Amino acid sequence: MKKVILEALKKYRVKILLGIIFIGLNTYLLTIPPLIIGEIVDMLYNVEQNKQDIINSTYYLIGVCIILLVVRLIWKYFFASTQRGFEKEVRKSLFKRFLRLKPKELINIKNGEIMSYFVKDCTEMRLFLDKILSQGTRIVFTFIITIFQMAKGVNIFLTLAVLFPIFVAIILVIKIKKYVEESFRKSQTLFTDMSEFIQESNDGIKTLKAYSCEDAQIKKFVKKNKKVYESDNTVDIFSNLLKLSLDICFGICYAISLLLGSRLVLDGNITVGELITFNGYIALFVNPVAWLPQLISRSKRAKISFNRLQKLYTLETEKYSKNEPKNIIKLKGDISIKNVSFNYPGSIENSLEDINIEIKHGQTIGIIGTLGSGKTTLMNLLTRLFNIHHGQILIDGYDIKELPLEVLRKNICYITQDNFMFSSSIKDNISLFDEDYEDSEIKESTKKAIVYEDIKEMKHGINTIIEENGTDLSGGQRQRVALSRAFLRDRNILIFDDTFSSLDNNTSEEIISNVKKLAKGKTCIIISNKVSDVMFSNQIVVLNDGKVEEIGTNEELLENDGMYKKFYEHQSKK
Amino acid sequence: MKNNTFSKMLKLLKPKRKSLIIIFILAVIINIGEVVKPYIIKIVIDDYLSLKIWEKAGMTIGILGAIYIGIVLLGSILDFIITTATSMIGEEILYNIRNKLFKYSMKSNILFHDKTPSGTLFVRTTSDVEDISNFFKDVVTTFAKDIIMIIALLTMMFTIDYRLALVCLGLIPFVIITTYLTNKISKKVREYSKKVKTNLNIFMAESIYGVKLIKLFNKQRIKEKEYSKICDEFYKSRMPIAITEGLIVAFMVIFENLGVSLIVWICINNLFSISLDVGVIYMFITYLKQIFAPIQRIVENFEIIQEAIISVDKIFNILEKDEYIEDFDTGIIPKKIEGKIEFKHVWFAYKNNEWVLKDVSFTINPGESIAIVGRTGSGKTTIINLINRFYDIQKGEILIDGINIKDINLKFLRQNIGIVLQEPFIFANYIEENIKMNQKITDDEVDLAINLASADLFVNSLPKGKKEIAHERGESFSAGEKQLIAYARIFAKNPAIFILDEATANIDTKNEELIQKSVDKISKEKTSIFIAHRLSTIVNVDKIIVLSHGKIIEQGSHNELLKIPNGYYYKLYNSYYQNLSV
Repeated sequence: MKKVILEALKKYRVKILLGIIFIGLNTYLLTIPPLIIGEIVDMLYNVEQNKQDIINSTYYLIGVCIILLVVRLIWKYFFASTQRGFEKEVRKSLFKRFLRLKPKELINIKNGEIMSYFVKDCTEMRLFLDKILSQGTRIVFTFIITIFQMAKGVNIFLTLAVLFPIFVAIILVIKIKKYVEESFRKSQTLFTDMSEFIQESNDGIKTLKAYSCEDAQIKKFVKKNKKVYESDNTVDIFSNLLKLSLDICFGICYAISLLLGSRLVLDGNITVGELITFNGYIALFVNPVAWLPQLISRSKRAKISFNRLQKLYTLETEKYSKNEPKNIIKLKGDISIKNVSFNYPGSIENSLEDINIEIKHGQTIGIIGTLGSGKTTLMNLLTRLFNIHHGQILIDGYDIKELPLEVLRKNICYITQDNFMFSSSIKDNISLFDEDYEDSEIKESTKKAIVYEDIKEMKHGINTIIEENGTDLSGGQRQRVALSRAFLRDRNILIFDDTFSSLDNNTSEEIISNVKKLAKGKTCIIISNKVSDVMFSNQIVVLNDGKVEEIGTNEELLENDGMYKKFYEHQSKK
Repeated sequence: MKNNTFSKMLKLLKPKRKSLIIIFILAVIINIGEVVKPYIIKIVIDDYLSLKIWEKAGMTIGILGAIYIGIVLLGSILDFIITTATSMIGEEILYNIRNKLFKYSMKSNILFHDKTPSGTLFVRTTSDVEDISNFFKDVVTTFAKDIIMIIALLTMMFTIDYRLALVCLGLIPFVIITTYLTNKISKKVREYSKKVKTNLNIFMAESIYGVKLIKLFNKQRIKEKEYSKICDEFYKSRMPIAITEGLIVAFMVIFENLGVSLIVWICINNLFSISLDVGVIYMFITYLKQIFAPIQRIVENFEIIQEAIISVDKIFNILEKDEYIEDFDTGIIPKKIEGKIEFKHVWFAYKNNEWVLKDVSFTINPGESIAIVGRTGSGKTTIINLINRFYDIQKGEILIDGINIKDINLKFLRQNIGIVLQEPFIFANYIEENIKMNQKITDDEVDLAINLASADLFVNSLPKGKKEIAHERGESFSAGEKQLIAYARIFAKNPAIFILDEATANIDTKNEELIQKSVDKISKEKTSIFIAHRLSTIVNVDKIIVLSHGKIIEQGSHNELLKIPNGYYYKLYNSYYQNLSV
C-alpha cells in the first residue's frame, strides 16, 4: 500500500512541487494589499505631495490582485490534478488488486466493505492529501511569511502581543474540534440506526399491520428520532462554540492592536498606515487557524483508511501472467477427481470428503444433492476459484494446479447459479465484453437458450441495456441470458450449476435438449436438485453432506433404492 | 404553488414566533456592534492619532479599546446564542416533521404503500428532511442576520457619506452577478461529475458482485481497462470544479480592492469635494470588506431555498392526503370472533375497473380449512389481502361472524387474523421479538409457539437461541427458516382465523417437513385459509376453491373436484404429477 501511495505521489511530484511554489507565492502576494493600503493611508495625510504616488499605488493594488487571481488558479489546478490523480491511481491499483484476489480471501469480507474501500477510504486518502497540500502548506506559509512581514514591516513587540491570542485560539479550536468530531460521529451512528429503522418499517409494513404494531413502531421511532434530535443539537452547539472561540480570540487581537498600536503611533514608533496594515495581516490568520483542527482530524481518518486499505494488500492473489497468454492449449475434457477433500477457510467441517469421480470426454454427468451437499464447492475447485488441499483433480492428465489459471478457465464454461448481469447491453452480457463475437453469433446463442423471442420483443433487441441488478428481466429471462453464454462459446468443458430452476417445464425441456446437442463430444456437468434435470446423464453422482452417496445411471440408481430414489419419489409426489 | 409552499414553511415556524422575534432583535444588536467596531477605529484614527493625543474630553483611547473589547465579547456571545437557538428550532421542526412522516407511513393503508415505494418514503424522511434542515441552518440562521447586516452597513455608509456609499453600492451588482454565474457553472459541472461518480460506483458494485463471473471468464483485463476509463473520466470531470471554486474567491479579492482604489481616487482627486478624513476612508474600506460576505451568502442560499421548497412540497404532498389514513378508533368490537367468513358477490380492483376479483362468493364455517388454488395472477393473494382489510372492496360484502368487516374495528379485526406472508418479513431484532411482535407475550408462551411451529430445532441450533439477532431482512436465514419464524409468530398470536400464503421458493426438504407439520396442526383446529402450492396441503383441507382470472370456477373437497372429468382442478392435479415424470 505504501508503495502504491509513493508511486502515485511520485507520478505527480512535479505538479506537487510547482503547486507548493505557487501557493507560497500566493501567501506572499496576500500580504501585499494590506501593505499598500497602509501606505496609501499614510500618504493621504499629505495628499497634494503624494497624489501621483497614491494613484500609482492603487494601480499596483489592482495589479497584485490580478496576479493573485492567476497564481491562485495555477496552484488550484496543480493541486486539484494532483489529489484527483492520486485518487485515480490508488483506485486503479486497488481495483487491479481486488480482481486478482483469491476467492478464499473474499469470503471473509462483506461486499459492502469492499465497496467502502473504494467509495470511502480512497476519498479519505485523497481528502487528506488535499488538505495537506492546500491548507497545510498555507498554514505553514502564513505563519512564516505573515509573521515575518508583521515583525519586520510593522513592529516586533506588537506582533508578539497579537500572536498570543492567536495561539490561544489554536489550542481552543483543536480542543473543541475533538468534541465536534466525537458528537458528530455519534449523531451519524444514531442517524444510520434511525434510517435503517425507517427502511425496515416501510418494507415490512404488511407484517406490521397484520400484527397491529403501528403504535408500538411509532413509539420506537419517536425514541430514536429524539436521540437524533438531541445529538444533532449537541453537534450544533459544539460547532457554534468553535466559532465563538475564534470570534473572541480574534476580537481580542484587534483590540490589542488598537490599544497597543495607538500607543506606538503616539510614541512615533509606527505610523497610522502601518497600524492599518497590521490589522490587515491579522485577518490573514483567521482561515489558517480554523483549518488546523480540520487537518488534524483528517489525518486521523486518513490513517484509519490507510490501515483498512493496507489489509487488501496483505491478502493473497491469484497468479496471472503479465500479458494475455498467446497460444492456449485446448483440453479434451477428461476429468478425474481423485481423493478430493476440502474445507472452506475458517470452517472446521469438511465441505467435501474424499471425492472420487471419473469423467471421460463426451460424457454428460449429473450431480444431484440437497442444499449444502457440496455440489457448487466441487465446481469451485474444478475452476480453481478455490485451491484443493487434499487430493487432486486432473484434466487430460494435467494436474489443474500445474495448468496456468487462464488456460484452465479458458477451457471451461461455467454457468453459475446466481445469473449475475452487468448493467450493460444484453449483447455485452452474453459476450462478456468480448468484441470478437458477431451479432449473428450472439443471436444464434440466444435462440438456443430460448430467449431470442423475448429479446426480439424488446425495443433495442440485443442492444437493450439491462438496468442495475437486472430487475427489468424476469428471473427466467436472466437465467436464459446467462445460459446463452454457454451456447456462444466453444469450450470442451461445460458446467451448468442449477441453471434451469427458474424456468417453466416446457422451456427447461427445450433448453435441456439444446444442451444435449451442444454437449455432444464435450464434457458436460449438470448440477441440480431436480431429478428431471439430470436423469438423462451418462452418469449421475448423488452428493450428500460432502460425500459421494451413490453413483450410476438413472436406472441403476432407481434400482439401488437409495437416496436418489427417495428424491425421485418425493419430487414426483409434489 | 411556490408561494403556497413558502407559506407552509412559514407555518412550520409559527409556533416559534416569539423566539424568532427575540432572535431577530438580538441579530440587530449584533450587527449594530459589527458596524460600530470600525467606527471606533475611525474615531481613534481621526480624533486621536491624527492629532497625536491619547485623551480628549475625558475619553481616552484606553476607554475606547475597552468598549471595543466589550462589543467583541457581547457580539460573539449573542451570536453564539442566536445561532444555537435557531439551529435548535430547526432541529425541533425536523424532529416533528420526521415524526409526522413516520406516523403517516405507519397509519396509512397498503394502497398508499403500493403507490409509494419504500425507497421514496425513505428519501422523504431522511434526505428531504435534511434539505429542510439545511434550509434552517444555513438560511434562516444567516439570512436574516445577513440582511440586517447589509442594511446596517449601508445605513452607516450613507449617514457618513452618501457619495462614497453610492460607489460601494455600485459594486454590489458585480458581486451578485459573479457569484450567481460561478455558482451556476459550478452547479453544472458538479452535476456532471456526480453522474460520472454514480457510474463509477455502480461499476464498482457490479464488479464486486460479479467477481466470480469475471474470474471464470477471464475478464480481469477488460474490466481493468473499463475501470481505468471511468476513473479518468471522473478525474477530468472534477477539474473544472476546482477552477471555478478558485475563480470566485479571486474575483472577490479583485472587487474589494477595486472598491478601495475607487474610494481613494475619488477622495484624492477631490471629486464631489469630499473631505479627506483618513479614518473615514479606513472605515469605508472595512465596510466594503464586511458587506461582500453576506451578499455572497444570500446569493448562494437561493439554491438551498429552492431545494428546500421542493422537498417541503414533496413532504406535504404526502402529509396532506388523509384519504390513505386508516381508522383504528371507530367500529364494532365484538366479544369474540368465532371464525365464520363469508364472501358475498365480492368485486375488487387495484386500479379502476381492472377487476381482479369478479363476483366471488364463498363461505367458510368456524373451524373449517380451505385451500385456494389457481395460476399466478388468478387473484389468490388478493383474497387474503381483503379479509384483513389491507384493501377495501368496491362491490359486495365480506362478513366475519355475520358482521361486515367494514364495520368492525380495524385493530380488533387484524388482531384476530393471523397471516403468514409468502415471503415472511424478518426484522433486524431478536428472534424472540420477531415472534412477539410487540404483543404482551410471556417467555413461556414464546417457547410454546416455537414448539408448536416445530421451529425449536432451528432456534436452538442458533448460537444464542431465541436471543439471536436476525440480520437485516433476515438475510442470514434460508427461505424455510424464515417461514418457521413466521409460523412461530402466528402461533404466538393464536388468532381465531389463520391465513397462510405458502412459499413457492425452494425450501430444503428438512424444513419443508417441519412446515408441513405446522400446517397440519393449524388446518385441523382453526378456521384457516391456504393459498396452497403444496399438494399435501390441498389434499388435507375441507374445501378447495379454484380461481381463474378472478372468478371461482370450481369449489368442493378434493374427492368431489377430482370427479369432474376434465375439470380445472382435475387437470391441475395431474399436471403436478407430470412435472416430474418427463
